[in-house]
Amino acid sequence: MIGRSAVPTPATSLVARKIGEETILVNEKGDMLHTLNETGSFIWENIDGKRSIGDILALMREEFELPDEGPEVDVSRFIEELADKGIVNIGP
Amino acid sequence: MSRNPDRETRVRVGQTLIAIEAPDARLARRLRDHFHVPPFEGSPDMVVKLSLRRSGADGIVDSLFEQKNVDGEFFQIGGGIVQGCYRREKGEADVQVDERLLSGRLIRVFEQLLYQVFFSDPRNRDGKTLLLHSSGVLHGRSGYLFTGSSGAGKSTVAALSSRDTVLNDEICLVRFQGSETILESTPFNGFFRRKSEGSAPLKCVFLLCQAKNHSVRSMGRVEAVSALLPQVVPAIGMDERITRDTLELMLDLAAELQRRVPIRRLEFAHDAGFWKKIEEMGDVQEHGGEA
Repeated sequence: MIGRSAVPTPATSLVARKIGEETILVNEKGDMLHTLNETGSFIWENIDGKRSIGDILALMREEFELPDEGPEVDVSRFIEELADKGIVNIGP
Repeated sequence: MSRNPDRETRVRVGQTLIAIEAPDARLARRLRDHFHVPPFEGSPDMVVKLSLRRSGADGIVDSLFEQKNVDGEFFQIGGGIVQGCYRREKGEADVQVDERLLSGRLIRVFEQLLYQVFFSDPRNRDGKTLLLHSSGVLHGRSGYLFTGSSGAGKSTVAALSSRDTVLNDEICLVRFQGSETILESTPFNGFFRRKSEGSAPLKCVFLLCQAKNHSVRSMGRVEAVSALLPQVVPAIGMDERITRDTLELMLDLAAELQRRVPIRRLEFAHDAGFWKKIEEMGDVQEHGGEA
């Protein structure tokens, strides 16, 4: 699992649109579609190539009043899944 | 420059009158029969001068939006099955088309060039105009769109709507006009040939799914926009390729349509009973699109 110091960067080939609290992601060919729920959208909006996973987690704790335990694993796994789908790239 | 009316076919798509000049009268007659268009008067907005060639391409692609190369005013699609030059300032294009594209069912692929001619008219790039893969029907005084991927049932819905006015079973035009959303016919062809010209306020869009019984259900906003997006025709001109900006515009148009008009999932069996289900939807008359 990726560590909290890893810095995710959004893939440049994607187009994103917020619809209400959710987000639609489309690749440049228009043939790959992903949708993110409210929590996923918040994480996506804070992936900017500068914030580490730890930074994003801190923002989430503040925004959603999360407990100290548990969310770190979920957030890391979620971002790993985004990376597997080519939606983000993971830096060191 | 004078043109020969025997070699010309004119088709109107929304506010754009397109003149297609064929190399001979025989092809022109075939195009007029295909589009089933009346003679139009007045000056065309866009002129496409066709010439035929036999390209070296082994096969015919089914999309004229992909495999497209553009260099200034010159464009080439699908390894040369369509290539030409579009002079934007004059609204004129010289286009060489593989002759196979103008026969049989492949003429429906040729029509995709005309979608790009339509979007070469800057008036249709206003962010309020979209072409949607759909079947359009006027039921009463309202317009209804039925959309979905190939094989979802667009032509079937058209065939089952013989008591109504079927605008098209392939491509319909939607315009955002102030607070109204207008559905309009186009001359493009699906399998259903008894189409009519017309327009009406758009009341509802249905995402089609064939089933054993008729049912209608609501869709979430993101679900609806996600389903609409693949059916939105890319708004690019003849001298343009699909870019990131194109996708952003397609997303914006799909989202705006969802905001304005109810989007529902329609499961329908092979009979016209689905119209009764639609009529039973009282909220279609009263509410806007946003869930």
